[in-house]
Amino acid sequence: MDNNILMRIDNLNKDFSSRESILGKEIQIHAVSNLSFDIYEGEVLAIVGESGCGKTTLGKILVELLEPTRGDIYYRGKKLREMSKKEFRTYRREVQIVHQDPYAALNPVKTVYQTLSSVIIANGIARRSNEVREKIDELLTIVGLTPPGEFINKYPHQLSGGQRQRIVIARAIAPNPKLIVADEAVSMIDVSLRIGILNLLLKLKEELNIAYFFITHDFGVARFFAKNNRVGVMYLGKIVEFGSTEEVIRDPLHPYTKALLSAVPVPDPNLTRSRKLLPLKSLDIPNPANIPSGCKFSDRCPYSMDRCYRERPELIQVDKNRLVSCFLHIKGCL
Amino acid sequence: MKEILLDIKGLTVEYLSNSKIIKAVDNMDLAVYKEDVIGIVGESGCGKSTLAMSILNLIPSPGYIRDGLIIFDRGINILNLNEEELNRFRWEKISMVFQAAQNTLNPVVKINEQLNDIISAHPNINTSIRERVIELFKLVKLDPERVLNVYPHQLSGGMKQRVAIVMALILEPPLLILDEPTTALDVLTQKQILETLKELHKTKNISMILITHDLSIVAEIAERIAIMYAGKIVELASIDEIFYNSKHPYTKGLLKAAPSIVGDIESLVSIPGSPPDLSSLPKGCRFNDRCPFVKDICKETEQPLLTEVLPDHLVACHRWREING
Repeated sequence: MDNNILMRIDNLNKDFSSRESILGKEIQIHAVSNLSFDIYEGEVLAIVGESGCGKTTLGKILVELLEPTRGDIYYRGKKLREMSKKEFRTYRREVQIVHQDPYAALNPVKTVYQTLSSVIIANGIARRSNEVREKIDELLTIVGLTPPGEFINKYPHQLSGGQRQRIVIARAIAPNPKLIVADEAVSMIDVSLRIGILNLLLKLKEELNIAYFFITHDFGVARFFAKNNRVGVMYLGKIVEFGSTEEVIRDPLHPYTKALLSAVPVPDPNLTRSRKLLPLKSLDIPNPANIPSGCKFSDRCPYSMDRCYRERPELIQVDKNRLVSCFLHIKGCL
Repeated sequence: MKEILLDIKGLTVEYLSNSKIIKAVDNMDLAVYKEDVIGIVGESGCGKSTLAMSILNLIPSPGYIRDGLIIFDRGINILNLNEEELNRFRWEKISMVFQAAQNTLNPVVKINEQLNDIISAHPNINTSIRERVIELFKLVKLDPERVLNVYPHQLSGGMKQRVAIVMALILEPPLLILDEPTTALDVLTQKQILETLKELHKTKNISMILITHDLSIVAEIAERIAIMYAGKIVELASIDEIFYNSKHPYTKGLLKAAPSIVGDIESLVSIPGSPPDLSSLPKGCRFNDRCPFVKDICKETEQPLLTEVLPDHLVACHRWREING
């Protein structure tokens, strides 16, 4: 089994320091703390969490836009920090990112041709101008912008939001990646077009065997995109629950997952009005400088026991496909 | 009989951009009843926020209201009020909560001073404001002690949005407009805000216009829904009719395009194409190039008019009868 692990995240930590005021004392914010998991070739791993949970920080670390404070990332079995230049270049080429905002992700003064050709040339995919042009035509066709000639000389402002995101995706797949970190890739796309973008990404997974690390705040989107795959739920820098997407949504075990799912509105008036929010002790995420010392969710959790305030639960396998970090679900703890 | 609180008639709002005229809202009629909660749903660029801004006569330049009437409480035409009258009208009769509360609140002024600003700008109102503020804070589940003496940055996003709702309700306006009130918020806070709005509607009988791109938000609280597309209302009906008996192909398409934690995900499909350029609209029905049921009549004849096809259910589609069996 081990040979199809694409990326291994080993005890990853990222701290940011911050001051409450100019003269206040420095505090450490643990944006990502002690995370370990694997990403397999060709899989979809969705990460769901609210703002401030560390999901974007985690995504940035995976593509080396941020350096972890502690812990390691292994790509194809090799530690990132110990890679040769050549190995590092392969990693850089094979791991790409798609950001949330297709308006900000594209240079406004570059045409589609310029944006894509620079990636193609920099990665040595093609060199001669007719080959570059051929490759761009191919990419635009793959992402559904046809005929390519109609788009190739356009600037971002001449494209709609959905078309821009397709250009961003074309740029991400140009170097033949094996893993794409997609950070809220459809949050800014209009509802009527979202499924189209998600289906495009899924088609690329099938055709090009691309794995996705798919970051979202929206359980509905995760359910669609990571069907028959895995989802992790993140809270204050920790993954609190991991499992098959269908099972986690049907039968959430961690109280935080339960709370999130109970709060998601659904497009069915009779159903959504009958759903009750899990009664949390507090609706607001605690101040990052003042996180409970036991379980990070203990100050909001309706089920917290003495132990939850004293100890921090580990992420433990409780079922064939399920990991949970909650004392309620760890055998022998009650 | 339902009493009309706000009556919009023939409203047309345009923006001038690079000498092109963009019709954001086109010849729209819409009545909001007393104690109504109406959801205005549409995608970006459909004109829903422009509609909201024009109700308070707040359209920023280079936009302007080309035509129409907005009658409040069967008396005043809001579009005829002068600046001073408008200032009094806003907050007292109609107030608005915007998407990003952090932009509504002044970052360098404490919350209680911001509330006082509103009150002192309306000297004709002199009931026991202080008590009402406390009551409102309790209603939106905020501790007044914790909130009044701080600056906006000391509050979370959800708390700020709740403060914005308190500000909007301080002079007890009969109509509240909410433009994407929960879009910037986390799902737990969103649920709380929606519960608060439901509670407010129940206890204070406030009418609400809720503007959103998200059908599941209106499913939570609206009583009626208007679906907007390219500056026009294409379907207007009760919440149950829209969700369980929709007639317009765009509404049907939106309902089939939204991924959710319930229901069938295999049948989800997006609507092909993208919304039209509002400066060069297609002939005939504006949805014709994306519609799966398009026929020549949709491209050649006039735009379909919003017509009552069932009691209180209005649809603007030439082919509604055929496509709904």
